[in-house]
Amino acid sequence: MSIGMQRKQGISRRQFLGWAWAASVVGLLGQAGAALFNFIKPRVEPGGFGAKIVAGRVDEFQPGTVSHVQKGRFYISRLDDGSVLALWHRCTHLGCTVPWREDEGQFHCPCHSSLFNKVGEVLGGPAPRPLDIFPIEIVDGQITVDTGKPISRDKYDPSQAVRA
Amino acid sequence: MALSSLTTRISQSGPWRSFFRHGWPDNPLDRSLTMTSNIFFHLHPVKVSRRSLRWSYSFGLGVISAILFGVLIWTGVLLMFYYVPSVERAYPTMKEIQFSVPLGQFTRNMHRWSAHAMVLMVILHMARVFYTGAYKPPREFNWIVGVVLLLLTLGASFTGYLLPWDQLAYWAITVGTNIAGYAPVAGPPAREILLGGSEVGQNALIRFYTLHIAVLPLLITLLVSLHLWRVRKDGGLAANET
Repeated sequence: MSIGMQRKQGISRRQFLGWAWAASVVGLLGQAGAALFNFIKPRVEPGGFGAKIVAGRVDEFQPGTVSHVQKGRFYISRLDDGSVLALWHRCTHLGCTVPWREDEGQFHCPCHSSLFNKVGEVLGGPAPRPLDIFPIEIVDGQITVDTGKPISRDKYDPSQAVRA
Repeated sequence: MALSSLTTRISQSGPWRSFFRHGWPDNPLDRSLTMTSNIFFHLHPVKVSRRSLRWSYSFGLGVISAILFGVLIWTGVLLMFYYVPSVERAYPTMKEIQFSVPLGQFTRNMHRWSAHAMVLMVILHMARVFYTGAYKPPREFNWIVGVVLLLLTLGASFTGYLLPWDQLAYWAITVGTNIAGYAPVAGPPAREILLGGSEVGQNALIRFYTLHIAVLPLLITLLVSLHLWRVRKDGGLAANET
């Protein structure tokens, strides 16, 4: 009688409990794995790198100059027409910090000699794309840079620079 | 006479017999028991053929790797008594080990050279196993364990490289983790998790330190045990069959 009913249902009580047990083990390991992943996932410290950084007032940056903002790991590049770019100082090749060379008039990476111009375009070396930029907001003449959202780009476009 | 009766009393006592569960190894049975009743020895075969002991067959590369790992554990633990994994103190404590601690320079150099040698010996060991065909059935599984051990060795080498916290270490890890970031899909998140952020800093230092002194050595110890035990289960070295 009971055997006939089990055949009808297609699954025995033992099989059902076995599957239920296996599913709960998978669920347990899954949530433990997710918890571990969240535990080791990096967090962004507020106020530090990855947050919104005040670079300064627009008139502190002369048109045609490049200035390093160490706290935010970026350069403020004020173009000749007065518009502003925030370039991440991280080389797009393998992540070294790229210094602006006033004597050369270009960014020159010490690790593998990637070269970039004022707007971050690649002039030479192994770098695969222009320097990454950060979104800029200019309110009442004050430049705020969101370092949490670096934008990678294939080429420079004048629309990337923010009018001041 | 008094001495021999004393040794007899000790060797017949309960604690002694619970510790050494076999007689003096002067007969085949007790020789086997010496190996099989000891947690460390039992990883090793009870009997080793003369052929597999031939120096020119294995060059002892696996044993050399294991001994180097032991040296690295010993010197590494000694270095941990002084080294502090913080961005302010990592470099000064490394210099303190070199210049102020008695035998500190020696200990650090032992650790450094043993680390370089271990990477080399593990690679040569792998080459030897390949050229003697010792990866063939029934030893495929142990080959895979060996490949994982090679990766763990390289991981230990890479994580240890950051710890001196000098310019060489900093930029080598910056470049190294960025190379990891080029891997498709898993690359960028793996890089961020390894560094604990988007660049090499305090988070990266403590993560590399923890991997270097705890996670990787424990995994290597576990897998070396498995590796040796598999050698025994697969019938000793492949030299026995050729």
